[in-house]
Parts: sequence; structure tokens; C-alpha cells
Amino acid sequence: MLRYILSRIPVTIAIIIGITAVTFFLLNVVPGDPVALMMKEHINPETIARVRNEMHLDDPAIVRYGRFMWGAVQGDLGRSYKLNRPVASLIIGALPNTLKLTAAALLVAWVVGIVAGVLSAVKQYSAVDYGAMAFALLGVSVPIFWSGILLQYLFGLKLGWLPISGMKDGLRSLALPAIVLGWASAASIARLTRSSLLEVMRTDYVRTAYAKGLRDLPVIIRHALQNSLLPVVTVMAMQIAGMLSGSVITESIFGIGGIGRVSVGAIQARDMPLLQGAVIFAAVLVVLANLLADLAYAFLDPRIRYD
Amino acid sequence: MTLLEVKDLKTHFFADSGAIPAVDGVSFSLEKGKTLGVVGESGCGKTVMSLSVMRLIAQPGKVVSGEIRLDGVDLLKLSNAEMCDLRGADLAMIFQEPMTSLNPVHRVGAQVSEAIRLHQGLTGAQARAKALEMFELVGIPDPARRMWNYPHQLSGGLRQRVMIAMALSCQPKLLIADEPTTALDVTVQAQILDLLRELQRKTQMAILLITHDLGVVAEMADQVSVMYTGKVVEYGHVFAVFDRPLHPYTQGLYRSIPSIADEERKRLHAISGVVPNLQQMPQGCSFWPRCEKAHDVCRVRRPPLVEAEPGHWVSCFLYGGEEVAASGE
Amino acid sequence: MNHMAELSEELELQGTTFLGDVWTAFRRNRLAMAGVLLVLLLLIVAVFAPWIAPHDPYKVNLTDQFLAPGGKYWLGTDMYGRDVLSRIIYGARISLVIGLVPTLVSTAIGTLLGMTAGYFGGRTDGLIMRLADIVLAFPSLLLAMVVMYTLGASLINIFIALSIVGWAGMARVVRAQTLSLKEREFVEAARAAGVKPWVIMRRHIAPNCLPQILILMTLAIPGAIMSEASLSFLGVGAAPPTASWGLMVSNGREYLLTAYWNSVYPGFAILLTVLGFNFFGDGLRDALDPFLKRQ
Repeated sequence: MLRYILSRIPVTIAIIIGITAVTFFLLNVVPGDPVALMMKEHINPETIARVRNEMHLDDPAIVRYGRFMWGAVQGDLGRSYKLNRPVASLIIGALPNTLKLTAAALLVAWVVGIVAGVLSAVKQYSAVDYGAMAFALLGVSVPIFWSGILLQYLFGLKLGWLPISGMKDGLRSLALPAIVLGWASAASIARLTRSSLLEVMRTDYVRTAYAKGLRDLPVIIRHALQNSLLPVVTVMAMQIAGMLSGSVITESIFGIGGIGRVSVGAIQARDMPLLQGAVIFAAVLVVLANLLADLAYAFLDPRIRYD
Repeated sequence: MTLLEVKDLKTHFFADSGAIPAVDGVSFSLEKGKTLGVVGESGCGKTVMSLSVMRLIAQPGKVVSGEIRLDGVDLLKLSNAEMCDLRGADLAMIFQEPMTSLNPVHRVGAQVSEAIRLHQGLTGAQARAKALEMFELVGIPDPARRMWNYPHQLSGGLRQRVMIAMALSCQPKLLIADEPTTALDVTVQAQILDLLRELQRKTQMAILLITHDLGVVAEMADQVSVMYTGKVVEYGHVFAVFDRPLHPYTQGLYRSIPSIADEERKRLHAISGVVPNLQQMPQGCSFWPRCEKAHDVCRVRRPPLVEAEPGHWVSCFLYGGEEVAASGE
Repeated sequence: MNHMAELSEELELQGTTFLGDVWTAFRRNRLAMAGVLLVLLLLIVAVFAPWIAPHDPYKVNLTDQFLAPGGKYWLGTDMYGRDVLSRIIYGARISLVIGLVPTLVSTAIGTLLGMTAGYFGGRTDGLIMRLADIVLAFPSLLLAMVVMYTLGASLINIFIALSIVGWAGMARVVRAQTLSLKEREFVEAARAAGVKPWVIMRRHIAPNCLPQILILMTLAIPGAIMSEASLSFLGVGAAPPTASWGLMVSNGREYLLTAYWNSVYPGFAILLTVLGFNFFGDGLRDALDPFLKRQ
């Protein structure tokens, strides 16, 4: 198990370096002068030249990338043009909100998705099955910025049940954004759980379990579910990237000060270092989450754990 | 004493194009402590028949009629819950594929003790002790350690031993063994068969042995039932059927076994043609298209199962089925 | 798989031609047919927009601001008095083009790179697939946002952004397919006969990857439509006054309480379109499934 974890580390590091490189070069070929942007009022060519020089903006891109990476490994992601504060601390400040939101959304997605998937597989071709699959098809097709504002309108403004913005009310504030963000994932998990469970129910070892005299429920819970969740775990891992994409929109709609909202704000303010830091950070989160998912997979499947 | 009695069992599969009779009116009986070998080419309905006895036929298949009496109780009339109580306790089954019949994510010891806990009301520790006993009984080396292995860590022969341990853990009265040795190496095959015979002697269980291998039947069975396209074509004591095979199909099967003693026979005999598609069954006897001795009557009427000699039944007009059919049996 | 499954599968495999089988299976799937209808509807609306739309989608009419649905304007008007229905009809054009162009481009890139990686293996493979891993590590919307930041908001730039984001998933699938096809007899025979790699890829590998590619493409189209709508919603996609559905939802959001039709109807149009392509793609996958399994 430990060897398995260790074997993943070099690839992970390579990918993280790749992420920084891609982001850096995509953002640093941008036309326009960030210094002029920062100091709108007193545009003095000499000052600009001096600041450019101080910021090493005239060095070749590869040198600047090297300098950026040297800072990055020491926890320095540069300073925000707009807010003139260290990018790293701005991101660390926004991180808890994003983590809370995605954790809540993942919880919604897993619980709802697995329960719906199991129910519709067990009651195949029943009303429950059709209902769950309609819910799932809708979930993967609905634009979350639209479902977001509609739910906000319905539950927040019309019914007044839940707060519509910010994070002040703890779990209650998280309810709507988590449902909006988790729905699409819940939908694909439900569909995959259903098809995977149906397939596992036709395997020889499930027949063996029935031949032992087990009833439906223990067969499903003890023998079928764990096997059928193996492909689901892989998809869950792939969804984490999608979930961070979704959280950009959800954070914007629900006024949650997380990494997504920081990125959108950075774009609007043309604040390159902040955008760069936020995007790199989000991608690294995805990589780490994938690593975790690999471990979860190994935990569920002894054939990987012991080989 | 008759333990299992199956009467006119019919199991159909329902496809878009209509019902397919995978098992089409099968009858036989099996006594305590005895072994009935069911032979036939693949696709003749042996496996579906055995799963019907376990009531493990899944959609789109269904047992449509007949009786399956175990100790006089008709299994087809039991509720699902009652059937669950019997499965794994009074009647158990081992399957053809030891590689895929064990759950890959659970330790084999736990898979065996699960059945023990379920049917004998033992605690976890007691059930584990019993499972360990079973591992020893079926001859798994180093059983205490093997209990903690996952299926993928065991060889095919060991996995089949685990399956046998699981099936026998609650002293079933009837063991259904569906091609228990087909997927195994020849030497392992012999070991598994020896093991089954020895355990049968100890526990007096009856065995319903499904196989396409006449050698296995000769070694193990007391009675033989030969199946073709979902029907029993010949049935009797193993000596009678092997010494005097009556049905042309049985004769064909018998001639297709390679034999060392019979050296002058250079060529292996094969039955010509193939098993017909169950959806496009010929009228009359389903074997006539492949039969060397087919008569006109075979093409139109289905031969009934008749007792050609005491205890030896055959379904073929060569042995006087015509009068019986005419008399309206 | 157990005997029963095999038996019931054998009974189903009595088809005629490959395309005939796929079509029969597809036609039987009611959702897939509903998907085809929705996609056809989108196509017709997009192509004939000038004839269908009752009003000019870009004509500002300050006397008709925020009119409720009904009367002259079936789906009401927006803050500039523009007809919401006409804007939705013209928006279909944008969505369709956005759905198709980046998907075609990223499919072409992904197929080419995936086949190259799978066929040649070694360093080429390592380089291409690590690049794909890197692209897939980004939340796709954020990567697209970065590209849009660099290039600026415009339709062409959305094409570029979505193509950069989309090729990696395709490359992964095509590579896996190529790896298994490479071991097949007909490819080995061609290689032994001295056929050039590019010819083998074009003649033997690409056609055999086609079903997989088609499935991925039909499912990538709604993804691209959704991405454009999201980018536009966030203000980094289509620039006003473009009749983009995402932009319309975003602009109407402020007036949700007083003029819900500004946001609700364009969002509904996105939902129907994406639903249609998803039904279609799912149906196609199910219909092609026996073929994929036989491979």
C-alpha cells in the first residue's frame, strides 16, 4: 500500500509542474502592460520603466517562469496587482469557503447519487427507476447558473426558507449552493451506480451469494454494492475537476468568497498574478483529489491493494 | 429413500421473439447418499435445470410448470423467504467457474463463515472456527492463513475447494455440482472428485452432478440422465446406460470418447450436425436431423420416455414408443 | 457472465447489417428519438432563424421595455425592449455553432494525437499523454477562462478556448482504442507488408475508433454549449449585444423578480438543447454497445 502511494508521487509532481508551466505561459503572453494598468493616475513613462524593471517584466519568459517557480516553492505566488497583497494569502483566505462548498456538494452528490442509483437498479423498470433516471437526465443537462438562480428565487426570495447569499448562516447558507452544485454529479453517479449494479447483479459471485441463502438486501449491500462502486469511484474522481468548474459559477451566484469567485474577480480586474495563483491552486487541488481517489479505489479493491 | 423428485419441470426464457423452452419437461428422482449424473452437450439445458432446482433462474427466464420435491416439499410452492432458508442449508450448489464465483472484495474465510452464521445462528467467532474446520475438511493446506486470503490470491483448485467448503458448511442434504471440475487441471480434477466422493460417504448427502464428461459420470454417478435440447432422452443406472446405451444420441456421445484400450479404432467418432437452435426446434424428435436411424415417424411425433428394460428409460421410437404413444399415454 | 445472460444475449444477436442493427436498436429507444427531434428542432430554428423570428433580435425599442409575455411579444421583452423569443431563436445559431466547431476541432486534434501516442508508444506517447493529463487536471471552465483572459472576449476566442480544453479527453480514449487495435491481426499484417504508419492509422485504426469517437462527440457537443453559456454568464464569453443564451440569463438575472422571462426562457432553451444532445448521445452509445463489446 505504501509502495503504491510512493509510486504515484513522481508523476504527481511532474503534472503539478506542468500545470504551473501551462498557466504561466498562457497568462504571460497577454498583451497590455500590467504596470500601466496598476497605476492609472500618474502614467509617467519613467516610473513605468522603473517598476517594470523592478518586477523583472522585461526578462525573457523562461527566466520569469524560473523566478516564479522559485518563489512558488517557498510559498510566494507573487502580489495581486489590484489588491497589492500576497496572492498566496488571498487564496488561503478563500480556500476554506471553496472546500466547504465542494465538500457539501460532494456529500449531496454521493448520498443522493448512490441511493438513487441503487433504488433504481433494484426496482428496475419501476416508477422509482424512471423517476430517478429522469431526475438524473435533468441533472446532467441543466445549466447550473440557471438552476442556481431559480432555486435562489424560489427558496430564498419566494418562500424565504434559506439564505440566498454569503456564508454567514453556516450549514443553512450551504444548503442551496450545495444542492445546485451537487445535482449534476449526483445525476451521473446515480446513472453509473445503476448500470454498474445491474451488471454486478448478473455476476457469478452474486449467484453464489444467493445460493448461500442470502436475501436480496444482504446480497446487494454485502456482495454487490462494493464491487459496483469501483467504477463509480473513478468517475467521482474525474468529477472533482468538474465540481471546481461548477463552483466558479455557484460561488458567483451565491456570493461565496471562494477560489472561483476570486478567479472571476481577478479576470474582471485584469489581475494576472491573482488569476494565475487561483487557477494553479485549483488544478493542484484536482490532482491531489485524484490521488485520494486512487487510494480509495485501492482500499475498495483488494486486487490492487495486494498486487 | 427418495430425497429429490423432479416432475415434468419446464423452464422457459422469454425473448422478444417468443418463449424458448430451455428445460422442457424433465423428470427424475434422486435418493439419499446417491449421485445422479446429468450429461449432455453444452446448451442442452443442464445448467438451467440445476438452477431451476435452486430456484435461481433470473429474468428473462422462469420456471413455468412442474414440481421439485425435496423431502416431499414442493420447492416451487415455497415463498421466497422460505426458499432462502433452504438454500445453502438443505440444498447447496457449486459452480463451474471457481475463478468468478467468489466475491473478489471479501476474504474467503468470511465468505464461508457468512453462510454458517446465516443458517446456524452462530456468533462470528464460532462461525469462523467452523469455517476453519471446513477448510481443513476440504483439504486446504495451511487453512488458518488461507482464510484471510482474497480469492485472487488462490489457485483455481483452491478456490473450488473454498466453494465446496462453503456449500458443505451447513451439511446440505443435496449438493448440486455444476461442472465442478471443467475449469480445472486434470490432476486437480481427480482430487476434487475424490474429495466430493469422500465427503458424500461421510455425510450421506445426495449429489446432482452436472457434466458433459462421461468419464466423470462413470467415476461418480449411480444414476445417469442424458439430456438433449431441454429433455431427458435416456435415464437409468450408470451400468445399464454405459453397457447398453439405447438412445442414438447416447450411443453417439459414448463413441466420441477417446479410448486407449480400443487401439484399432483410429478415428474418433463425432455426432454429425449441431444442437438445434431452441427457437427453431424441429418437429417430432428433436434429435432426428442428426440421427442415423431416424424413421418417418421421428419427424412428426415426439417419442415419449418409455421403460425399455427394468429401470432403464429411453425416449426413442426404436424401443417401442409408438404403441405407447398411440395408446395415448 | 453467467449462462442466462449469455443465452438471452445470443437470442438478441440475430441482426442483419451493422448499421441496420444500430438503427433498429436506436429507433426502439424512445428517449433517443426524442433527442433526435430536439436536435432537429434546434437545427431548423438555427438555420431558418431570420424567417422564424418574429422581430429583429438586436433592435432596441425603449418604449417596449420589460413587456410581459403575450400579445405582440410571445415571450416578452428585455431591458432594451428587444424581443426575447427572437433573441432565443438567434441564440440557437450561436449555440449550434459553438456546439459543433470546437467539438470538431478538438475531436480532430484529439484523434490525431491519441492515435499517434498509441501507435508509436514510447516517448511520443509519454509526452502527449502527460500533456493530456495536465490539461485534464484543470477545472475546464477555469482553463477556458484563462484562455479567454489572454485572448479577449469573442466568439472565435471561445472556439479556441474550448478546443484547447476539449482535445485531451478524446485523445485518451482514442489512444486506448489504438493500443488494443495495434495488436490485432489486420494491423500486424499491414505492418508486416510494410504499409506506412500514417496509412495504417488512416485505413485501419481510425475507422475502427469511429463508433467511440462518434459517441464522445455527441456527448461533447452539449458540453461545449454549456461551457459557452457558462463563460458568457460569467462575462468572459460572448460580448454584448450578442444573442447568447448564457449572456441573456446573466443579463436578466437582476430583473428576476420583476421580469422573470428574461432569464427563465433562455435558460430553458439551454436545458432543452443539452437534453436533446444527451438523449441522442446516450441512445447512440446504447445502440453501439453490442458492437463495442464484440470488439
